[in-house]
Amino acid sequence: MVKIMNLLPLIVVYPLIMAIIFNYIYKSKVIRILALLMALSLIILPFLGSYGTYFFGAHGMESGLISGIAYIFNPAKQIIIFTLMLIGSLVLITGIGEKRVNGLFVSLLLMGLASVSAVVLADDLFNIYVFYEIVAIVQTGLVIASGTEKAYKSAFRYMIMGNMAGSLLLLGIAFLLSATGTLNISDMHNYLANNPATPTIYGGLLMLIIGLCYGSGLPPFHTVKADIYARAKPFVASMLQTYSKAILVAIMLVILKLFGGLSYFNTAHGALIALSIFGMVFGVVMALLQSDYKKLLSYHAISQVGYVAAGLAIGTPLGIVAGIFHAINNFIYKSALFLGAHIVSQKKSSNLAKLGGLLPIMPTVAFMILCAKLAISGVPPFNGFQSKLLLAEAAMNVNMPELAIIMILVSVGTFVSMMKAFYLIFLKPCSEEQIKEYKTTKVSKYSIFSLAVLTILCILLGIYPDIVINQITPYANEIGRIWTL
Amino acid sequence: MILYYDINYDIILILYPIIEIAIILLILVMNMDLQLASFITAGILAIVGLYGVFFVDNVLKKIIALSALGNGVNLTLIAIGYKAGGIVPIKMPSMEFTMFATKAVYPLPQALVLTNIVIEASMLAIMLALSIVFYKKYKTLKASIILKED
Amino acid sequence: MEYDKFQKQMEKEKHGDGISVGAGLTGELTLYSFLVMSVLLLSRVFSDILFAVIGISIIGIAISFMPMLFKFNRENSNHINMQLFWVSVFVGILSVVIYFAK
Repeated sequence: MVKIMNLLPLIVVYPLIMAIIFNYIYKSKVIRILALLMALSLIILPFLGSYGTYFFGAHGMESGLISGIAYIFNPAKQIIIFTLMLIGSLVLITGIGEKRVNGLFVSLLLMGLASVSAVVLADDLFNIYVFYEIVAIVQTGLVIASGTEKAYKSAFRYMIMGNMAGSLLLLGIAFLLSATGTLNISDMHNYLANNPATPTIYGGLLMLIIGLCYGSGLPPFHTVKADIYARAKPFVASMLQTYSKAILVAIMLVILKLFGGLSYFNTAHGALIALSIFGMVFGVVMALLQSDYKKLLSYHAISQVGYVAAGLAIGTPLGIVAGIFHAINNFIYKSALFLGAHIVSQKKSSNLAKLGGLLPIMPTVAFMILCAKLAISGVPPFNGFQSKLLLAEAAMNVNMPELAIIMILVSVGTFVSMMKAFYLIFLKPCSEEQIKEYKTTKVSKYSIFSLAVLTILCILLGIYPDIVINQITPYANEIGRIWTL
Repeated sequence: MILYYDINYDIILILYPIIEIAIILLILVMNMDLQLASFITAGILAIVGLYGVFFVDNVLKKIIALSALGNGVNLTLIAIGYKAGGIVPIKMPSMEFTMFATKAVYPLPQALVLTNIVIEASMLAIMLALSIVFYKKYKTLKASIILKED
Repeated sequence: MEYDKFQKQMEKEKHGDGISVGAGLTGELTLYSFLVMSVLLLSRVFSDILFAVIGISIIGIAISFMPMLFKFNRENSNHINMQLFWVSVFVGILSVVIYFAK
């Protein structure tokens, strides 16, 4: 049976091939032109394939069991990958504006984009493991590329944890493989639903959760993750946090798909909700204490991971819609904030104590950063409000008002620290010399362009949230299960 | 929290080769099941690895421990796919299907192991390179000095 | 907890100006209310009187230890031993929860 050639695998294959090519280019000018072309072509990729289930490896279904690599493509995954690619291309465009453009940077970024989209698309644990590890290596590489000693140290910490968590994840996959005899997620779910639980399956679940925590930066790995966001260049950090959040969504959905509705999943379910609450609170409390703008933003990234994880861990259809929608919003406004931090640190530094009085120098940038700040704290006309409302509603629907209250409290903390940063950067009075210094340094137009695109998206999704929600809802109804406490 | 790092835990690692020798003796003398023996070895390797990562205060030893952990996981995977008297899972045209299906070993774990080896080699290479950089600067390999709070 | 003591402590950690102290206080209150809310949630989930009593006593003890923020900050530092310690604690608790819960 011959199918018409489908272009879906291009999402993974095209950036990977281009990553290899970019590796061998040294001339800055050539890289600039090619990277611009790449940035334009990345956005088209998610619209090439048609929806459905794909099998690669020429075997397809054999006696009811799936053999070979399986991908599932549906509107929800399409919109996640589209946002991912959009932010990837905006970061590439920002990177073009840098003084020295490195081919290695572009190639690492493309490799990460390809692997994260593969993790989102894949329907078997083998693929997920392989690309998960590649993302870990890519993130380390991007941090090391910033070239400072602190970056090396944080990369080393990240690798120690990463190697350990990666090995444990593989051990979990091995446990699940020995218990069920397959790595395909749909087959594995069928097996798990029809057979009694064994200790091996518990072990697999535990290790999957540890892998999830590392990949997304939930506690106990939040300090490592916040470190690498803070030590990378800010516009690279916007890409790093996007990778982590996409991996969180993908692996959390895998766990829900595998174990959702099974009786022994209840305690693990509770543990996931607890981890997400820890993520929210630890992130925001640490962020309130920081005096470095990059570090403040990176702890907020952890806190937002907690929100997304809470929505997904609730596991009802509404919770999953809220979680994925919040993840997409989060890609957008958090990247905008990191790009804003890039512009600010180009002006002087990212240390909040040294900054001040930037508002009259660049009012439009300040306005756009303010928009992103309001979006992250959940103020009505922006997209953060819509998803946080949905999250609180989902928490209320499962009869957990405490979770909703914690979400609102964390929102308040986010607002306070964001306004603190805004005051210290833009409003605090500063000396005449500093203003002269500001006027001499120039900001690249490319980063302002990227920031503007993201801000417009923030407002657009805040006014018309249905664009995204309607796409996610069918998939969430398929996975989610209704329950109350 | 720092207190329990003051004791030197490296001594316990000596236990590992002793246990290994004991298992080899069990296989040779007592005819122990190979799969079981490799599961036990894998478990010991993984535990030693985790132990080394958590407790040993030396960057290089941490890397060695990570590789031990990875090898333990690899051995677990291989032991899952093990079949006594199995054949290579490539179906030749001359083979009967039922014979092939009953005798061939399970190829999926081996594919996973291959992937894991490649990934781990690259990760450990980066880590070793970074530890050279750190050693040049700090003239020591103590993790609690190199990777202290900053 | 007194405001003056809190401010002095904040100045020691180089967050002396007014807005940073305010942010620190918000963090402290967030931490405390998170504790209260999680105790409420847990006692409701397990619906155990003993658990509720212990929880309320934890809330009471926490109020007497009040600037918890600085201890919390120290535990969340990026010293490698601290990170590995908390990883081992979390992994241990997770495995206990998943294996041995009812």
